[in-house]
Amino acid sequence: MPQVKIDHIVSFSSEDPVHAASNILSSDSNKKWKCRSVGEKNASVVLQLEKASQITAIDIGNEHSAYIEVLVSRSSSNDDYKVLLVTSCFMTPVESRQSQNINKVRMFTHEHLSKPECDEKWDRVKIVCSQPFNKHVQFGLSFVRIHSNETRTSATGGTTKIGKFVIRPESPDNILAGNLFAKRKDYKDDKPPTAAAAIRNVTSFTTSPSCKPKILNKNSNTTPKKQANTEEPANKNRNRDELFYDQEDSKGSEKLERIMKKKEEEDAMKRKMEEQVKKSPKVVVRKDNKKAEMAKSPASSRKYDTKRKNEDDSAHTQKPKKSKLSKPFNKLLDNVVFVISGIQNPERASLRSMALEMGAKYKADWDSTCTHLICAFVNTPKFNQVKGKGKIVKRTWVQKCHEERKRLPWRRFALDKNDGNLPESEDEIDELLDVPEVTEYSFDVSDDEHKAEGSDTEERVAKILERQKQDQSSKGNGLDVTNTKTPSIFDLDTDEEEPYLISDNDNSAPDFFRGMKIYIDHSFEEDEFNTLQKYVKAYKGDCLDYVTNDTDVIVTAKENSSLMKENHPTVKCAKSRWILKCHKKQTILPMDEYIY
Amino acid sequence: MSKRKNPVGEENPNYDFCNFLLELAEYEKNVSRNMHKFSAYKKAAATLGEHPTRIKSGDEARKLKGIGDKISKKIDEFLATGKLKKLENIHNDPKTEAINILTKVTGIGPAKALSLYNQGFRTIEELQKNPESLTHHQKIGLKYYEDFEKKIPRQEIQEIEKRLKDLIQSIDSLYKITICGSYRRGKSESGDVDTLITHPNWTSDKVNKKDKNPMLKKIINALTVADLIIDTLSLGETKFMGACRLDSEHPVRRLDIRLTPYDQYYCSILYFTGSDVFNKTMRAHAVEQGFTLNEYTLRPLGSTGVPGEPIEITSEEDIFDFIDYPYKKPEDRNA
Repeated sequence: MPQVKIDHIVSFSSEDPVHAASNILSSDSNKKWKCRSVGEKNASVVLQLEKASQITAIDIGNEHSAYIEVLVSRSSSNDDYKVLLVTSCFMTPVESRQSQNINKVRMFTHEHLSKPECDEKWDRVKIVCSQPFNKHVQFGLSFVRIHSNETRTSATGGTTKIGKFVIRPESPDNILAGNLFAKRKDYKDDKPPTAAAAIRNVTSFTTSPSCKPKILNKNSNTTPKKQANTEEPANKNRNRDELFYDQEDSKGSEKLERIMKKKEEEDAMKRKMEEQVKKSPKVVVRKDNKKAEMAKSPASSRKYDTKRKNEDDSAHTQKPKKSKLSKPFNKLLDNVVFVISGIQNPERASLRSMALEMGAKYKADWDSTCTHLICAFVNTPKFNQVKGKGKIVKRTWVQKCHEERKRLPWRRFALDKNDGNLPESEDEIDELLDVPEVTEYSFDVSDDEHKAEGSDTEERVAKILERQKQDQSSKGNGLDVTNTKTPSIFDLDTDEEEPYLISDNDNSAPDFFRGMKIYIDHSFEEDEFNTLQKYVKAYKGDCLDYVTNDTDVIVTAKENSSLMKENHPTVKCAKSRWILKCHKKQTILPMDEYIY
Repeated sequence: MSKRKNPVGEENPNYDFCNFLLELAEYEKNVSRNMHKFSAYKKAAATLGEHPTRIKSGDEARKLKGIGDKISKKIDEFLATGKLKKLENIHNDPKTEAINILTKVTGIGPAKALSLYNQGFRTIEELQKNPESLTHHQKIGLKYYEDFEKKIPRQEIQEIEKRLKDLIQSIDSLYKITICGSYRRGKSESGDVDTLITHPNWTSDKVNKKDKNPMLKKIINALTVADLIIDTLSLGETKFMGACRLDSEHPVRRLDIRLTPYDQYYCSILYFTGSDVFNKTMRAHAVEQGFTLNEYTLRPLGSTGVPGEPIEITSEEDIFDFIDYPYKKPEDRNA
């Protein structure tokens, strides 16, 4: 159901200078509208819709109101308001007095709305809030979304914004030239690690109290044959779900599915061959002394494993592989049981089928077997039900996982800020496939990759091209890949760097600091200073040696912040955490939270 | 609710005023069919009944709530002459007399009484001889006329309550049973037994389903088999009216049982506990606070006066709390 755009605020009973009525127009759910003074009898706001629409659903986010009523009218009829949604309860007297649950969200569908008003078109909406139980608070709305069943027009501009997130258009995936081949590669990378690698994985996580990695390893150790079998029901599921969304969507995913299937079969065959080759000792050894240093850090576990394999020839009884866990795409989320809240069709269906494709299970309502709630906004009934019991994530979690074909740590997508602020737990790091997580690793990206390993890079690019060629030819010849590929090529230590190569080729390497002039103050410990500088450089930021007039931001320690602010009043002073967080999230974050 | 309301006892300093007002109220209801006048007299009687000291003049009474010009003059007249002309006229009017008598039978209301009067019936005895024009309900009412006129002592209701609970909860222990009416308000005797039953599985969203709810029928069946219910005046899906008797030693009593949706239970309890005057004041207060209250739900009123969605209520206190009305225990709701 498309959202009806609210054109402007026609009128309001009163507004707080900070929490103005115009905040309702903002897509930022943190902005709210409150009445001007405490103890007002009721507060109302009149909204002008972009055009007269039949309203089929309304989502309302509360801000301390006990009751909210929605009336409708047409701008040409003189203020003759009809009730569309009868006064509905958002807070009980007890909650009102104790200011609990002040941001409850309720979603009203067609059945909730008054007849016959809901079958007519209206262009004016009046929302009346009241709070009779607490005369000491300002109250209002945190957001309102009006849905119509009319086909999407320019009204919504094709993009939906949820808070700071822009929802991608419906297409399941952008298929660009070369992109698919890059993805194929991911698939090959996703083969389960061998037993020894699995053990190494486990040991590298012994610091973690979580036992989840072990379970996952167990799953990923299933034989290729079994995987091929288990694929079947997953596909069936997906087909069923495709009934729920439009053809365009299903076409896209069918294409993907075909490719996936083919790849899966290739993988299975390749693994078989690898098992045979394993018996012969490895011959290729990387001589990269610089990397040996990195290996000392336990945090750089992935690197470490690869490294050790390369250096320790005697241990090479099996092919080298990444320490990261990998799973077939249709099992990425195989221990996830999810529930969706606050997301309407067709997006709901597409999210669901994405998650099902990745092996998750869907439930209509939360029960004790559920693990994740995919939720549009906080304080929905399901949100409150699940809070503290399960992982509540934004829809972007599924979308990103699907898009990047890997399981990303849920905390990055936590809906509740409190959840997001906690450190990512180990089990998620474990499943993290291709995103740099550890500090030294990104240092590699900037230094090793581009300087010390220059020749390696070329070598690998050549290999990738070769492999792509093979992929193409194997497509052409059916599945007869046995004689075109020798496993040794793929068994090099290249695997985990490949995403970077691909990214470089795509020009989409994280470079979110590009064009930013950042000065890092020397108030930090040397280690930290170096790390921060590395990050800035890694993400293509400009590291300044001294503060200039056009410096974008000064990163400084707390002790020095006041001094810095005094000397450079025009420049923003941020905490080092900002850089660290940006690195962690792999994107630039708003600085506001981190400013002194 | 019972047909007969208790007259005010002699211990009340204003009992005589109250009783003549109540009598006038009955007259307005049964004969002139003017419900507004009926309410006005009832309200005035309730106010006077609450007043702690004897009223000495109409002017003094006038200061009280619900007593205006006309009633204060009547009080003056009563104080001066010891009687009321209007009441004398009523007493001397055979039509009023007959209607008042006939309406004592359950099932016979003012309209039926008037039609019976026009057919020539004047007394209960005449009716008993020629019951052809009566409905089943009215016939039963006539059958137990004497017993139904008797007040039920509190202790007997307690025994009936115990038997009802034992029998109903042996069907399903989740049934909640409350006897409302004047019994719940702590009165020493009542006119009938007003019972409310609910079950957690029976909620208002199931009420309009086509398939009939068999719960009440099963209950009535069990109570009939147990010989507690001896006659049925009417039985629907949610309301039973009938006659019950503890044993042959006891008179036959009027018993009402209502099956209420679980989510409407407390509004019903509040309503059926009464008193009716209390209910009216409470509802008026609710409207002042922007709510509408009835025996089913409490709903907030919207800006155009359209009632909102029912408020979830988990106890009687909740209702008072929502409309910001000081909580009154059932015993304090007699006014």
